Amino acid sequence: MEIYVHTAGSEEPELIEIEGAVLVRELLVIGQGQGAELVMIEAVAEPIDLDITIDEAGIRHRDHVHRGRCRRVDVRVRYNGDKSHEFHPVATIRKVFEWATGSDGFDLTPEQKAEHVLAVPGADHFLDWEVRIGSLVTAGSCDIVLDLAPKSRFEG
Amino acid sequence: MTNAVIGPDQRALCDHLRSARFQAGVDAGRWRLISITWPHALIAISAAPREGAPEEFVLRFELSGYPASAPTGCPWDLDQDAILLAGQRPKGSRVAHIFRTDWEGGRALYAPWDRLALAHGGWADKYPMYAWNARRDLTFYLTNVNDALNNEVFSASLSQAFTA
Repeated sequence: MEIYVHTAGSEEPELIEIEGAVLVRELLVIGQGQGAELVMIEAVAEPIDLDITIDEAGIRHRDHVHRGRCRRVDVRVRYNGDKSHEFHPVATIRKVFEWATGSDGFDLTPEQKAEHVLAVPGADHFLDWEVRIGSLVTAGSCDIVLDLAPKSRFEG
Repeated sequence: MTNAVIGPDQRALCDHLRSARFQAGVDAGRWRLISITWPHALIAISAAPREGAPEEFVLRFELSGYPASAPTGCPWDLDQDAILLAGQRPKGSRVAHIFRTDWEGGRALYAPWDRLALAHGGWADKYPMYAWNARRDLTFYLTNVNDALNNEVFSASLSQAFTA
């Protein structure tokens, strides 16, 4: 089967071919593991037992898994002030955006939501909705700062 | 894609189409590759569901020189095998501006990720978060279009436009 593997420190996922009978532990070292110590999937709050198989963990073809060192990621979003919230590492940017623009965040109107997007400060692109928040943390940290920024309307 | 000798631009595209980000978008139903007849590729990009409106819009990409040269995508009518007419294009504030027909005859998207529009003087500096460069790949183009086709204001406006 093939699995999308999202790794802390790398915004780009990898599509990895692996047998279902292989131990979850193998996911720590296959491809660009970058020192990952735990494996997580969206459906389970805590890290998966590394000594069960991919099949036993319930991971299916083209599922998304995260590997890294953080059980949770503390996200601070900047937009007319700061708001912070803790997320599962497999949470998508869409989920973070919904929180950041919702009533527990900056409480944007639907029109305002449609005109904003999240970005890592200093990056050369906005974050795609499907990026996993855990992939954005850097070595030695479980925190990430994001900017809620307006989209551009292109004018010549 | 055939096994014939291909150029570096076509090879780069093939690599990018196999990438995890592109494939994840296919699996999530955000876009789908229809065909490649080099240097062109037809790709459908999903739009927010709304009554009486299409579920996707097709772009006919021209990809010569990719990725050093930006792709250019022409809104395309698959049934007519021709450029998509103005009345069939997405409505809404931002997305309609990107799919405008009063510039270059509507043969490219009006956005800095597109080769034709990027020829505007200064757009690479003015819109660096959106501008194409050789480190981007086709998924960058597709994610931006997919986002434009799926934001809430677009959904409401297009639904009204198609059902009016």
